[in-house]
Amino acid sequence: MSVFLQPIYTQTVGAGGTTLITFNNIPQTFTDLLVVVSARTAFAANYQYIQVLFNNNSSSYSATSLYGSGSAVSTNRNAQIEAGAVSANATSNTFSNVSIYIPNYTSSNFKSYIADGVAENNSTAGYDSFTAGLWSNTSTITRVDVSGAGQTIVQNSTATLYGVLRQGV
Amino acid sequence: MGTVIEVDCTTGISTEREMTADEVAVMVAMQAQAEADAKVKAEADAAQAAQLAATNAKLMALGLTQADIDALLKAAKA
Repeated sequence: MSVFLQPIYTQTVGAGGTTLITFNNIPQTFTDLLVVVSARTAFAANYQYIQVLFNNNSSSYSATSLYGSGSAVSTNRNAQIEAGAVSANATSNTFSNVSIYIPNYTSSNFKSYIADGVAENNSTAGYDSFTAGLWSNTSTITRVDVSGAGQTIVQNSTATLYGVLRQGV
Repeated sequence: MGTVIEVDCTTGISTEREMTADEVAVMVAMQAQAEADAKVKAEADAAQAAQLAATNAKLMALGLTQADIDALLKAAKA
């Protein structure tokens, strides 16, 4: 049970966009982390992934994802932290909701995570995704990267990092 | 490849810079993974759509109307 949710920093993307948002030197004083992203990418499609990395390390992730498009469902095993985000062909001025919860980020055990995202689109197709995964690495998490899988994250997108302090800690 | 907005959570200072070679290499790998995942997802969606179309055609051949089929599929999903 969370008794304390501390916003550590909110980054708003400025004119011109960016490829990567990095939260570095994350305080090690919380129990869990929560990353909340409102984003849109410049990718020429309705849908693109928002990806998250720990410690700029792209190895040792294993995840199961469930996707829905409004007409079909699918599942996938993958090796990333991914959640859906709206892109350039989606309805103008819509931004996706993505959240990634990382319990026990200072632990010397492997790190589990949950990532969910909604890429809303004012048409018959809208995409959502739900991912549960494990980062098989014993390092404490000191850095979290948010990207659009190589695509530009456009102006007015935001990424907020929260620290969570659980009851009894 | 692009720019990075780097937030130092200790100082609360946000700076913009070019990506390092290491960050670019990681990003290229992640981009490839995302493209592979998108392909798997698209293939699954297409297969599901094709199956639905085939089922629809079979039911039409049995003499059902599209309204009957829609009602049937809706009931099956419920």
